Parts: sequence; C-alpha cells; structure tokens
Amino acid sequence: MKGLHKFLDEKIAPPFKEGGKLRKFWPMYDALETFAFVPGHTTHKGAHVRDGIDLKRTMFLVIVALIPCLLFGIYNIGFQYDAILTEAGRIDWLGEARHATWLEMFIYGAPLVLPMVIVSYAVGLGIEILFGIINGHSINEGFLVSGMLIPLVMPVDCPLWMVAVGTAFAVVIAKEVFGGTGMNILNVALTARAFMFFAYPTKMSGNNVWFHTGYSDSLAAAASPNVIDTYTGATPLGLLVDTADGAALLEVKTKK
Amino acid sequence: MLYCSIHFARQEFLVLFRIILNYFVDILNTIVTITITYFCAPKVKDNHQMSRTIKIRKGADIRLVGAAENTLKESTAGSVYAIKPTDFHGLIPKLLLKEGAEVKKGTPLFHDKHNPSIVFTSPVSGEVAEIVRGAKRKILEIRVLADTSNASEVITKPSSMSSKEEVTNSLMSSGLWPFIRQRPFSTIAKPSDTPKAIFVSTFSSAPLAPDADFVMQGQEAAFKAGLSALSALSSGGEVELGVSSEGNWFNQFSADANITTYHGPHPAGNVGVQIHKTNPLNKGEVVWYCNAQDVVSIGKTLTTGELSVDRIVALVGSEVNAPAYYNTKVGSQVKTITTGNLKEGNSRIVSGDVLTGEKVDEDNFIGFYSEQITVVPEGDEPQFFLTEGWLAPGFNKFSLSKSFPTWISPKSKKFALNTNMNGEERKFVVTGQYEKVFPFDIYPVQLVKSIIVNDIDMMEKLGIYEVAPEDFALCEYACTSKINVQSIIREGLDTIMEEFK
Repeated sequence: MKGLHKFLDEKIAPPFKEGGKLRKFWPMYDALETFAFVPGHTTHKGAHVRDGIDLKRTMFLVIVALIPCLLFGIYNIGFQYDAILTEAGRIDWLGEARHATWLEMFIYGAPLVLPMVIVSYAVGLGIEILFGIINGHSINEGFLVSGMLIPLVMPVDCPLWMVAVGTAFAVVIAKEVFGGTGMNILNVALTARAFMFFAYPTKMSGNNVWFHTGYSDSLAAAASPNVIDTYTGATPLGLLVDTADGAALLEVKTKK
Repeated sequence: MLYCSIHFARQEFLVLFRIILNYFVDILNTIVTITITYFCAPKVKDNHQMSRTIKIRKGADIRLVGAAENTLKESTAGSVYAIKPTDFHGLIPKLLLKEGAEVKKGTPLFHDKHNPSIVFTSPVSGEVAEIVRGAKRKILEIRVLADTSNASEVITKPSSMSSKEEVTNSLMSSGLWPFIRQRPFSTIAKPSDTPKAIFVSTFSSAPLAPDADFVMQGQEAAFKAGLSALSALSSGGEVELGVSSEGNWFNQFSADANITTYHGPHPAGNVGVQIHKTNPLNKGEVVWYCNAQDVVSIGKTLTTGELSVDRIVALVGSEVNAPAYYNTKVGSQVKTITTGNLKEGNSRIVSGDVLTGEKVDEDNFIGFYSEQITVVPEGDEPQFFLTEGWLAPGFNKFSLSKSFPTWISPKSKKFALNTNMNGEERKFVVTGQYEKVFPFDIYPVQLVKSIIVNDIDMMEKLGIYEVAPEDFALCEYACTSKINVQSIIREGLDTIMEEFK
C-alpha cells in the first residue's frame, strides 16, 4: 500500500498543495487522502501514545449500529404495502394470490428507501465539502451519521427533492453556520425533520406517512381503519376525525 | 360506581399503611445504625495505625510491552549533568554563575526570580560548562561538566527535624526545595504558604511505571527521616502517604504518616486523585506533594549534611533490549542509561511515562521529576484504512473503546504502541470517553471547554484548582477527536495563576 500512498502523494497531491493551482480544493483532496490513509502524524505534545480510535471509526460504528434499523425499515415498507393491498382486495399484486415473502417485501422496499439515503448523503456531503473549501477546514466525519439518520426519520413517500431541501437546510442552518461538526447546537437530523414538518406538513403528517401507498388515495383509504393497529397522539380528539367510528360519533354530536 | 370507589379506597389505604410502616422501619434502622457506629466504631483520631483503602473505579491501565525487570544496573558514568529550568513550570530562572565557574555538589546555579530563596543546585562538582539558551535567550539548560574531586558544599543540618524553620532553611539552601510541589497549579511550593496537608504518592500507576517496592529497597531510614522533615512543614504535622494495594514496603511507616491504600487502575497513583479522594482542595487552600524517591533524597541530605540526589530510573518500553532499573543522579544525560540498550530503528525517547513525559533525545538530560525513561517506536508511517487504519480490524491496536477486537483479549496481553496520532484532530464530539477514565467528581469535558472559551468563573466552578495536566492524560489518550487536553488544562491553570498575581 506504500505504492498507492506514493502515487497519491506524488501524482495527485501537488496541485492541491501550498502554491498549487487547486489549492482551494485542498479539503477535497485531504478528505480523500485521509479516508484512504490515516496520516503519519505523530504526537508532539501531551500523551505520546494515543488510542486507536478516531472520529472516522467512531462515526463508522454508529452507522454499523444503524444498519439493522435501516434494514428493518426497508423490509417493513414492503410488509405494510402487502398488508394494505390485501386489505384493498388486491392480494394478487405479485401476479398470484398470496402474500409476499420477506425477501420480496425487502426487494420492494429497497428502491424506495435507498434513493433517499443516496440523496441525503450526496446533498449533505456536497455542502460539507463546499463549506470545507470556503472556510479552508478539513471535511468532517459528522455527516456520515446525519446522512443516515435523515432518511430514517422521513416518511417513505416523501419526494426526493424534499429530502434534498431538508438536508440542505439542516446542514447549513443547524451545523455549518455554527462552524461544523462539534460546534453545532442543534441536531442535524432532527432539524431536517422539524424543517420538513413545518415546510411540508401534508407530506410529513397525517395517517399515511407510515407506509408506502404510491400516492394512491384508494390505497390510503383502505389502510386507514384496518391496517393500522393502533393510534397515538396528544389527545384522543384527533382520532375522532380520522376513524370511521369517530366520524360517525362527531356527526351525531353536530346533528344535535 | 360506589362499590368501585370503596374498593379503591381500601386498596389505597393498605398501600398507604405499608408505606408508613416502611417509613418507621427505615427510621428505626437509621437510629440503630447511628447508635452502633457511634458507640462501637473505632475512633479514627486515636487510632494512628488505621489505614484506609480507597478503590478507584474510573481509569484504565494502558498495557504496554517492556516493563522493567527487577534488576538494578549501574549507568555508565556520565561527564555532563544539567538542570533544566524548563522542568519547572512558570519558573523564571536568574543565573547565579557564569560559564566556566567552579562548582561543588550543592552549589547554587540559579534561583527563582520571584523567590530568590528557592535555589537550584548543581548535582555534581565540576565547572559550569555551558548555558544553553533558546529563542529570546530563554535558558534551557545549565550544563555542569563533572570532575572527579567529588567536593561537596556543607549543608546546615536542622538541629531537630521538628523545627519548621530549620527544615525549610536546609531544604532551601541545599536546592531540594523544588522537589516539593503544590496543588493547585502543580508548581514548586511557595515557602510562605501553609499547606493544609502534605501528600506523598508512593507509586506511579502510569504505563510501565517503576515498581516502588523495588526502587525503595534499603532506604528505610532515609525515607523515615524524610517523612519527619516533611511533617515539620505541614500545618497538621501529618504526611499523607498514598500506597498501592499491590505493594507493602510503605506499610512499615504507619506510625510516621497517615497511610491510605489505593486500589484500581491508573490514575490511582496520581497525587491529584489521592488529594481529591482524601482531602479535597477548595479555592484558597494549598497542599504540597513530593515523590517518594525525593523524600529519600531529603532524608539523606538532612541527616548527612551532604546533598544527595541519587535516583533510580527505570528504562522501559518496547524499544528497549532489556528493560531494567538504573542507578543514576538527577540531571544525568539520557545516553548514560540508553547507550547500547536500545533496539535499532526509529524510536522516541520519553523522559517520564508515555502519557505525561517529555520527548528527549540521547544528548538531552533526564527530567528533574522523571523516574523512568520510556522508549516507544515512532509512528510516522501512513496507515492504509483497510489494513491498519480506521476501518481495519486492528488486532494490534489497544483501545479503551470497544471498537477494536483487542478489548476481549486477556489482561496479560501487552501492546507495542507507537506515537502515531491514529487519526486527525477534530472538534469535540460528545462520546463520554473522558468521564470513563477520570476519577474526579468533576465534569472533564465541560472544564476543558470552559478553558477553551477562557471563562474563569466557570473554570473555578468546575473545580480547576483540583486538577493538573497529568490528571487529564488518560482523557487525552482516549480522545476520539485527538485534542491535546493536557496543554489546554495547563493554559487554564496559567490563566488562573495570572489572576492571582
């Protein structure tokens, strides 16, 4: 691997170094190099030996811890979709009259979720790099976790452009304006969520955020009363509007 | 409905009754306990022999290769010795002699500008060979070329070890006073202060630290004399001795000092931890402390009237051929013990332990307070992320986090760590690593942050008076963001010290 490092150092690095043409883009090169190689920096003050862990490994471990969550989310989308279609009388959505297997549920969910992950990472890391270049600091690993959390707190039917806007807002307002990872006073993923909640309430709240309906009202109607096991909310009053029984009850009250 | 509420009332009454009953039982219990403790427990003040045991739970032992064998070797005779003013934080040295001046063992070389009675003396007889200066003519070293005459200044012995004034004067004139340091700030003690206690931590729990029981062998009389000299200096007349649960040499002094046994990982041996656990320091209070080997020097000097600065230094670390102990003197050149003992290769020599020591080379001199020389490999090679970097399994890396498989390896497995940072410096990220290795009742991260933003009130509230950089060494070691915590703490202490002036 010494060869690769030599190649990076001699062939790729020069324009990014002090006085080079691409000096401004040093953070990009730095991110690439330090991704591939933990630099040979040695301690010069304080403790002479240091723990093996660094921020890259710490953040990577958080992502590892999030993967089961992501996998279940993907599976669950297929599972709920199957349940709704069954409820709507379309049990043969796979071409034959049977429920989907877990693998089919998973395969159904993956193309709905993974693009959100990709968009969130692309937008967030892009902004990180941009700010790294503007402020001349190295690119931080903090977004690796935020980029995974943002899709995990979004409804599956949320359009990708909304994910992009939410991510951009959160990274800039919650983090970069304060000086980047470690200086932020707001949690990036939750800021994205809060922003989306107030900016696009119709896509972010209501009964249909929990499952994929493909924007089909008939499917949503099928899902509402029966597929959902239970409700929770600030007060039970909200349920009155949302459920058939509740609506009937309301009607009685208004008639009086 | 009615039935229901009666039913509830009865149930509630039962519950209430049980609560009240429990209360009475608790009160009874407390009364009994207090009575028993009051009448039956041994009275601490009368019982001098009683020793306490304190268990330190937070902390960690960094398991390095290369602990010293219990063999004592002689260092090769060195001809140059040096006292480094830089070993004493905050000291402004004022030279007393010029280059070429003849000195005896114990002749003052320089003194503290703010406190002229604190002198620093030559460890050997000879002549002042060179005064090494750095940037802005800062004095770095005062080198003395030793001769063979072994002439020695006569030091006035105190007529009795119980006279504070006489003991102080002897320590001052002999140049042994700098061995006594103070908390807060961990600088040389101010003779005008009255310390509320004097602490001697008899052991170091740092990685590859010397074994105190081995080092102290045969020094019983001198140590005892040193203890009585120290107890004359303390206001209470008592010296607090912190001993390791693994050794027993020091337990023979239970009549001369208050012994507290410490059990647990590093930093159990740090004097700061021991002060915090037994006699916490408040604003305006001062305690003094001293190393065990220096107590021996004090004892010998004050009983013989001739300066004694002998010291046993452990040469340890993975880059040492045969780690062992060496008989040497304060101010010896590093190469007098390292020559011929180091492995080939690019290695770093540290005067002190790897957590708090100072980087030196073979021509440098052993630090004034150092009791070990640690040699570890330099880690200036870049590490590919899959094979040895951040994404590698890391079977050879030691970590306090559980992100490396080595956390399940047995305690006996040792590691040869190098000086690589293992990552880049980042901003603080909340990880809870500091708290796991910091046995003080202090919020470490908050304290460090308050220093970074220079908020003096907050530093005081968070207890900066109780800490010294060395207490944060493990935090610095464990830090994910690779922040140099020790120098931040030093900055904070300097800021507070400025305020006091």
